[in-house]
Amino acid sequence: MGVPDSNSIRRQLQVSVTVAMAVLFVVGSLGVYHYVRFIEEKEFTESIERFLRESVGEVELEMSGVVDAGFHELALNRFAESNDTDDALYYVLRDHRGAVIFQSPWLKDESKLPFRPETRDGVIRFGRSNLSDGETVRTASTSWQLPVEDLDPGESPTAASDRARNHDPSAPENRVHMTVATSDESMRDMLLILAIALSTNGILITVVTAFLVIFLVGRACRPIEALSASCARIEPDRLSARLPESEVPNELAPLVAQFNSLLARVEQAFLRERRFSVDIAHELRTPVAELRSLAEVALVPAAEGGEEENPREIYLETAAIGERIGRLIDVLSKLHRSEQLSQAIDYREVNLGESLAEAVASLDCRSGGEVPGVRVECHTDARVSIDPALFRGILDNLLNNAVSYARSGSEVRCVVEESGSGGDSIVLEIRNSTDGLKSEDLHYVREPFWRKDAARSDSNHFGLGLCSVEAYARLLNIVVGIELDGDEFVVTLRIPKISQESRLLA
Amino acid sequence: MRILYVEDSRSLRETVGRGLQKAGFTVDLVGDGLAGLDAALEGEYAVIVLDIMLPGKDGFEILREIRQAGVESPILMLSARVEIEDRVRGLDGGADDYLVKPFAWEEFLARVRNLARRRFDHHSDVINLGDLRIETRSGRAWVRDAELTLRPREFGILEYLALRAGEIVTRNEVLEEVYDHSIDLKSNAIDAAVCNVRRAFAEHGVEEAIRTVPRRGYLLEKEISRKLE
Repeated sequence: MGVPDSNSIRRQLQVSVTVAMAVLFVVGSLGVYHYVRFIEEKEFTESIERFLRESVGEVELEMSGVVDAGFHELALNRFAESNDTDDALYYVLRDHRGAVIFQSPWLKDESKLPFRPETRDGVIRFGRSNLSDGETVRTASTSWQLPVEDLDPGESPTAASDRARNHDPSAPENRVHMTVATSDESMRDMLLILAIALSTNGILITVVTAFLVIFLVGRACRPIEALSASCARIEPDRLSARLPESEVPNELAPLVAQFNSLLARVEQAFLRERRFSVDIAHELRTPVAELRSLAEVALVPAAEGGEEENPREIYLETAAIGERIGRLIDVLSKLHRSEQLSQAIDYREVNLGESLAEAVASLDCRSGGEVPGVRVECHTDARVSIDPALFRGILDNLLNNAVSYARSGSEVRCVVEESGSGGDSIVLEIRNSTDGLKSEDLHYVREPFWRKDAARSDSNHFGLGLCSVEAYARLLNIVVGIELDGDEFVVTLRIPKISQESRLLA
Repeated sequence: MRILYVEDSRSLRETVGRGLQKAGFTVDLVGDGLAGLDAALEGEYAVIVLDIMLPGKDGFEILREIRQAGVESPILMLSARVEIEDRVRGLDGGADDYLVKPFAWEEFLARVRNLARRRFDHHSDVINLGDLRIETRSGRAWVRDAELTLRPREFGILEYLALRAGEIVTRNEVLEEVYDHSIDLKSNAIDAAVCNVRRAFAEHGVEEAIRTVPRRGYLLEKEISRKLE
């Protein structure tokens, strides 16, 4: 079943990064547009305001009662010279009733410019108006009291006083209102071009970015996809395969190393399991072949002059083979129980020295006393809380192995003594001479069914002794040590000295 | 015919040995690899049956050394090892057959017989020499439709002569392959048995099927025909 594309890291990265870049470009473009617009409008407004203030400064009331303004005269002259209304600046000066005192020669309909006589002195009010020709303009207007014209040079103060009396600066009829206006079309055009440029660039950059992101993310994800493909190629029956560790990105290197290590462990476990199954099958095949051949050959009539089979011998042979198979099954089921931790543990206070002596005595009885001498040295009478049956299983296996494999005439030596800081554990050491066991064999002695004799001809041993000891010891928290000391094989059991009372408390 | 069986399991070794003897073979039984290799190199066996896991020297090593020494006896590997790589290793190493334990006795015997015949370039259970037909599996022989009345030893001699029809077979070869040296070469047991086979032929109208070659041995004709009465 295919993995949905939306679950692909590569696809998610490509979409996310492209969308993020597009959002970034949109936000950036909007930011640039609004910043430029703010600056332009500010300059525009300042230019109108500046013109208005300068114009206001130039408007004077002459003694003759005529209102005069230098900029108006300039405008009239300019208008007379050219009728060019581009970049025209409109103005209209009104008296306190709204009557036009003068207006810019380009302005066709002064009524479209606002008249706000209530505006206080010095205050400028901004606005927007549509002229009669449809042109949109921005306006700035203000009201003020007209200043009285200064005395002309050489004029007598008396005459000036008379005029001044005729023209009271505070008289309401001397209050005027001026509005200036100019078109913002060029600014709007410029902003529109900017918006189009930013949008076009944004779209183009987003498209180019999308392609770049697809390419770059695809390239960056290639090691992940290669790893994924390598993983997919690993089949359950091909666990020897490993992921390539070279040219792996640093971020993935620990993952690959861990995965390979896990694969190695799984492979080892599978191999162990397979070897175990093969070994069991092998151990059973030979006795089954013996039984089957025994029966089938017995059914074949004897050759001419040959002796008929002795049924009693066949029965005895069959019984011996059956007993051997039974023993193997018994050992395997015990081993299985202990490895599955399904073995019930019955802790009792046990004196190790006494247990060892009993096991040795039982060994002598089973073999009719024809075993190498077993010497027991017990340097402690400490008691430990342990399962006596399981512990006896450990002792029987170890002692049986020791006497079986010891050189004839040699002695098996068992030593029990306290060990560890403050004697917190008891060490039992079983030492026997050995023929042919090498240090490299120690890697395999714990393996199930391993025997030094590759032919496994010894039908009294299945090669499960040390394996069973290990399994039982794990249940009892006993540490098993195995070493070769010269030509002696030494097994050490380190048994934690825990009393029954403290175990119950625990 | 002489069979060598190398097997470390005493019970299986003895049982198979008894079974092969019942089937009319002469059997040498060996319990370890080194002795097995010596026997294979020294003796001339119709078939060698070889276990793999043997003390002293394993079956694969024995197989390699036997073939390196030029021994051409057919070899049947008989092992509890079922892995494909073991079978391949055995067959690639020069074994002619591989049988896994446990096995059916009849199958084992059929394979041994097949390998024994292969030594004489004969691949069938049935040997046809003109009007003579021999079934090695059942141990019976016929001239046309009439069955010859033969004792097992006599049948053994006829089978061996038939496998080597047209060749002179020495008394010593008969002694080794059929009698397993259980009688003395100077004994007249072989002559008596051959005489009985001739008599059985004669009863069914076949004369001079087996010729005696003075001071050399016997020769069975390749084409045996019944005289018309």
